[in-house]
Amino acid sequence: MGKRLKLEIDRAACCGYTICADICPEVYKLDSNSIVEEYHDVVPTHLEEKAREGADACPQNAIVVVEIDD
Amino acid sequence: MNVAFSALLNHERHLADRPSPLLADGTRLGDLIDFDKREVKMRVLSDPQVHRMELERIFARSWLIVGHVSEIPKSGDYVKRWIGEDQVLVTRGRNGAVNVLLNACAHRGMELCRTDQGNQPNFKCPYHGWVFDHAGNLLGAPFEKEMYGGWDKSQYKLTKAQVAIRHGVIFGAFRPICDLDEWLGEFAWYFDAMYGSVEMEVDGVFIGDFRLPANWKAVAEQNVGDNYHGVTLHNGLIEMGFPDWDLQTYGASSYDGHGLRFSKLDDGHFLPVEGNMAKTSNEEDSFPVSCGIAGSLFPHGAIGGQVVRTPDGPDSVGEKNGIWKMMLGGVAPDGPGAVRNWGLNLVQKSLPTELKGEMVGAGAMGVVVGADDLEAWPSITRAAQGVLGGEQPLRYNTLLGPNNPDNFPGPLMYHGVSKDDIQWNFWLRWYDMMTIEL
Repeated sequence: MGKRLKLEIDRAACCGYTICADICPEVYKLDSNSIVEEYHDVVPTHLEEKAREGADACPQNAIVVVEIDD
Repeated sequence: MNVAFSALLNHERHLADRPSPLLADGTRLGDLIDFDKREVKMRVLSDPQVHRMELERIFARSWLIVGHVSEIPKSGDYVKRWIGEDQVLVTRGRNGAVNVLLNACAHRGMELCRTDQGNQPNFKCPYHGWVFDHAGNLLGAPFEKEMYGGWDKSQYKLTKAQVAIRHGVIFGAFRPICDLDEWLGEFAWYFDAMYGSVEMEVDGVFIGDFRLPANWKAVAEQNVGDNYHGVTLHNGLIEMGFPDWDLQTYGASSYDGHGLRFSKLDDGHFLPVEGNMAKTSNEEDSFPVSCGIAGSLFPHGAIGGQVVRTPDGPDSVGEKNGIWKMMLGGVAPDGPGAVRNWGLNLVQKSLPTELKGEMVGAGAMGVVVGADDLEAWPSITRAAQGVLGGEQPLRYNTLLGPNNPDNFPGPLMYHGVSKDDIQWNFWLRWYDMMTIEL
């Protein structure tokens, strides 16, 4: 059984750097104030690497990547 | 007069004839160095204007040791070091490249990184929150689109130094006068032998960022090659039972200002190069150092180390018939009256872990020697602050002259009673860098 990724996004911590959306715009959507939207889906497999990279790059540590059983 | 000595006289004359910068009180820099008597006025150890010139003309233009690649093996690793009084971050980027970045935010100048070393995905300024990657590129800013719209982030990079890596040793330079090969010149032969013979890795920082109230040149001028002080300042070592201080040494130095001395060996070989574990002259030596080396790259990058014999015989550890421990470090100025010291132990990478630990402990003699030197350097600096003290010369008037022992493969040798040659070469390079026309 493989692992898939979900994202825990802390909108209160977000300061609108938008680096996550620069790296992985498919997953990280921004509201009109440049705050990242919550993402409730399972990350598509082909976007996992970019999603992780976007989360790692967040200066506010507002995005946590969680592995779940497939 | 031999050829080498006449070359020295020509070099001194060449420097003496250069236009010399004017100091605020009408003194010329050249008035503070006497090429005929080989003396330097102590004012150069305390004068703030001379100090500012050194930062601009020496430290900003020199290749300086800022670390070792094994300190920052992983992407995101960094250490904080100094190029003159500019604090720099030595980083490992995502692509594996090593960068040397000015630790000042491109926005409003606060020090981006406030810790000495670590690993983090990026550098976020604590002031307004601009964020940079490990290559100095601006990644973003808080509420970026509202604040800056569609700005061109490439205009706001951190200031980067040029980087050169030689045998794992990282050098940084902001405005180098030449490339690293030319900077090291013929002295590279020794550097390569010390750091390029076996693969080494860092084993602990033995000095982190230790501040000492001494002018940087009081430290550098000794470390580059003064052996004469040992018999007096470090007499405690002899009283503790270490072998008598030997005034006879092998030294090497060039007009590029680099220099070192290493211990006398009965077969006359610079051990690391020859790779043969020569016997010390006294088999009863209470410490197993077979070859000790100490020196400095101009302006001040501490180099040195030991190749050590093991009780089971040199071949028991295999590589190059000895165990290698080298050190790297530097002395960065902090105003004319203070320095920040840092240093690393490097040990042979192929050693078993327990031997690595023992090798780091083998530097115990350096602790005793260091405590003595930490008295001398601030004391000289204090003496230089007075009016009469500033007029007092530092004297380098006994020279041996370059001479290569028979069959010795290395260049630039001064073999015999350790006199003032190497330290004087340091001052010649100091004046050269202070007056060079670019």
